[in-house]
Amino acid sequence: MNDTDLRAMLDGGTSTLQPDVDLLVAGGAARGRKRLRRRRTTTAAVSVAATVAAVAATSVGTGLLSDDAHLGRDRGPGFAEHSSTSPTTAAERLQRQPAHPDRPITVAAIDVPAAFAAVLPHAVGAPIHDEMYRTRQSAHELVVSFHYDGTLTSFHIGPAAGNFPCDQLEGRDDPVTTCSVVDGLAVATMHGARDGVRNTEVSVWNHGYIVSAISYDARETGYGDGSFEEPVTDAPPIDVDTLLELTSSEAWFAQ
Amino acid sequence: MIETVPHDAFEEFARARAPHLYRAAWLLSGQRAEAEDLVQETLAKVYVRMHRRLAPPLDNPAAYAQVTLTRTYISARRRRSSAEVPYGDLPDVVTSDTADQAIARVDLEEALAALSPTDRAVVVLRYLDDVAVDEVARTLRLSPGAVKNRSMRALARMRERTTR
Repeated sequence: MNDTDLRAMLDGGTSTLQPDVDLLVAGGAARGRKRLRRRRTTTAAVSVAATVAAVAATSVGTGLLSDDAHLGRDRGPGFAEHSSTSPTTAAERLQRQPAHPDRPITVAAIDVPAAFAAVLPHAVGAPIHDEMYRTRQSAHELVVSFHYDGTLTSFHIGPAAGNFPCDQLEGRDDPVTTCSVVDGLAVATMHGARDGVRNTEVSVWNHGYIVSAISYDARETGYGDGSFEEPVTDAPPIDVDTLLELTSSEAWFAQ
Repeated sequence: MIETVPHDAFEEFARARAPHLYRAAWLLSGQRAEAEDLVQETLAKVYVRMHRRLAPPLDNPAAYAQVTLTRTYISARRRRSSAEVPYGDLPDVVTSDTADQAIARVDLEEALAALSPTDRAVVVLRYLDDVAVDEVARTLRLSPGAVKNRSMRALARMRERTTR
């Protein structure tokens, strides 16, 4: 038997197989939908828990990243698995995550609102420039804030080194924090409130960075002192699932 | 939730590709039920990937599905056993084969039964999908040399089985 014989054998042995294509496609789509839904349900469950015990908010855009300067701790596995990929793939991806940035940020701060607009149904404003919400950008850091549907949104990418690893944030109540693994990425989901303004934050550890997005339920005043106007919605308008999709995107980085 | 990929795009791809994926899955698993499960699992992963809103579009969905199918199969086998043990489950394929086709299929089943899961994957990728050695190596996380060795070993084992 040579290569040609083997090819002929494989072709001949399988050419009359008659799979039920309807069954395969419907089954695959159903499993795929279920996985997308499961991801949303997992994160939505966090929201429900958080509404019971919502407490003080994180600071603007950098709540997680500026958390006390706990230096030198390495991130590692040991998270509950909630992956939509195979466990092996997810575990490998988690294991492969570097401690320091392994690639530059390629998106420009001014383009971040457009990226949010691509997945959000309402109007996204331009970057805010005041004392409190100043856009910053370098090869390994990006900070930008803007308004979405009349509420403040902050987005931050910064090196993970020097910050708490995700699993050490698990169970905190200020803000209410849950850590999990989604598609091989460590994900912290936080819900906080301060002065009557609630916020939802999702932070993802990816490529040696922490990528964070925070949605508030109010508009900032523009005074540059971090103050907010009255809340305009019942809850931060960008849900956890959407924040997760944005923060876990590869679109921010060079591939 | 907004989905950037219309449902039809997945459906169109899946319908076009499912028969080929099934052939590959059947060659890998040797069982109809397992092959169907493997294809559905693969399509589920393609579905999720195609519906990730900010992910770049798939340049080659067929290649993505092929790699996903193979890795899913290998991962499942590793979970069942840490050792590579050739297996030869009896097939339960229902087809409208002629006598010759039925014989060809039985020969193929017997020949494949001599192979380990990874060797089966090498055979399917190399000789059903016509994937280059380097690409097979990347898919299976082997060296190109290991892929060539496994190809030769698989051919020898299959030859031995079919000439008995």
